[in-house]
Amino acid sequence: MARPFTFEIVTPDKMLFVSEEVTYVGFRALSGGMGIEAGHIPVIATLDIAPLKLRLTDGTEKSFAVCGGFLEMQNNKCTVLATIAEPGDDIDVARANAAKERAEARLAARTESLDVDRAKCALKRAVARLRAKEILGRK
Amino acid sequence: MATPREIHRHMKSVGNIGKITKAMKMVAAARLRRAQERAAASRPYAIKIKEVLSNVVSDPSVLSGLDAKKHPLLQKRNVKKVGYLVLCSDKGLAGAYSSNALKLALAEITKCEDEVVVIACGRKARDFFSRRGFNVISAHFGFSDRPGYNNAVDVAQDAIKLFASEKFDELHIVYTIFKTALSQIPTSELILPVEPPKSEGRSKASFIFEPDEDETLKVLAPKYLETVVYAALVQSAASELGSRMTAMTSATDNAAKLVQNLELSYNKARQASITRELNEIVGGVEALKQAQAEN
Repeated sequence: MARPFTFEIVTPDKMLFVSEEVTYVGFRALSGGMGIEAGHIPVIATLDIAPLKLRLTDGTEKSFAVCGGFLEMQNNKCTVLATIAEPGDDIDVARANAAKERAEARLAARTESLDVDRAKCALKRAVARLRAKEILGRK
Repeated sequence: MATPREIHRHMKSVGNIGKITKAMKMVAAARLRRAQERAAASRPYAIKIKEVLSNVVSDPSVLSGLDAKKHPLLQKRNVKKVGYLVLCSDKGLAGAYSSNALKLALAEITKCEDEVVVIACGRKARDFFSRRGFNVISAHFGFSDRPGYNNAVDVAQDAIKLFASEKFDELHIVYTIFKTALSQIPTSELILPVEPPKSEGRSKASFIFEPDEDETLKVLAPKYLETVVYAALVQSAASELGSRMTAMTSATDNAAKLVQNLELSYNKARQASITRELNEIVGGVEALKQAQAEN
């Protein structure tokens, strides 16, 4: 059985999530997808706007939509620093879908005043939220 | 001497002001507690970000090998223009809170020999500096007593943009540290260019960076600035509320004392007028008696 390690998600407003029972963290860094298990060597990863998946000792899975930030793994303690992170359970699918469509429409229209980076980020955030929800629904 | 009616009117208005200040005191006290909680809740993130940053730069080769063009936020330039980011309140009635912060900022600015530009945070700061003819290049307000992280992001991003466009070569932040409700300390710190915190040599672990140090630092530096600004905003908000609470407490006490004094003089005036009336009646009766006796 996989060994558990300490995992926490910290946002500027609060400690969003703390658990000692995490056996696996899957996430996407700027350089690509990564997975961490207990005993991983120290790493600092810059996160992409993407869902983050946790597996707990009892086999359940949790997901979070994380909008950028950092992940630090050190001495069997994994910390995620994110400005915005939402648990998969709390995600409002209708709202995320609406945001996704809005962003897509804006990118498709390509008006002069369009802030392309911002629209792309909004799209990525919406997709990350939907994926985070999907991960929960799958099991 | 004022008539009893005038004194009574004065008493009533002072009493009403007392009620208002008391309500403001209660509101400030409740919000102060929330602001303190928020300050405590924001600490783990700030500490952790600092730790990560010091981990990134703990390897001396990282800093020396940095390409200055890639990391404009860390780049030290020749200082020709100095920026001051001044945090104070939007509203008055907070005792000396705003004026203390502004006094410190003004003292720093007068000391500074280079050209000075100001980023004002809070209506009072904007009004203060624009009235005195300073170059206020940007102003943020509307959130001084309840700042959210997004406000900090706005302010930090604005500062980064202005820094990049060389509106100033270094930026100082002037804010108020909250000690207790009775004591707040205005302070000034250099925040741009970002000075990476010294690593305490505690974590000697050599990290792997994903994707690499450069990329990490590029994302981390602005985030670090945001947390610094957020911490300052939260401290200032707690100071503002603490200061307002103290000011309103003493205002309420003063109002109560004033009402007491007024009540005393009201009673005196009332007594005096009764006595005078009695005297007049007695005098009148005496006069009548005398007139009858003479007849």
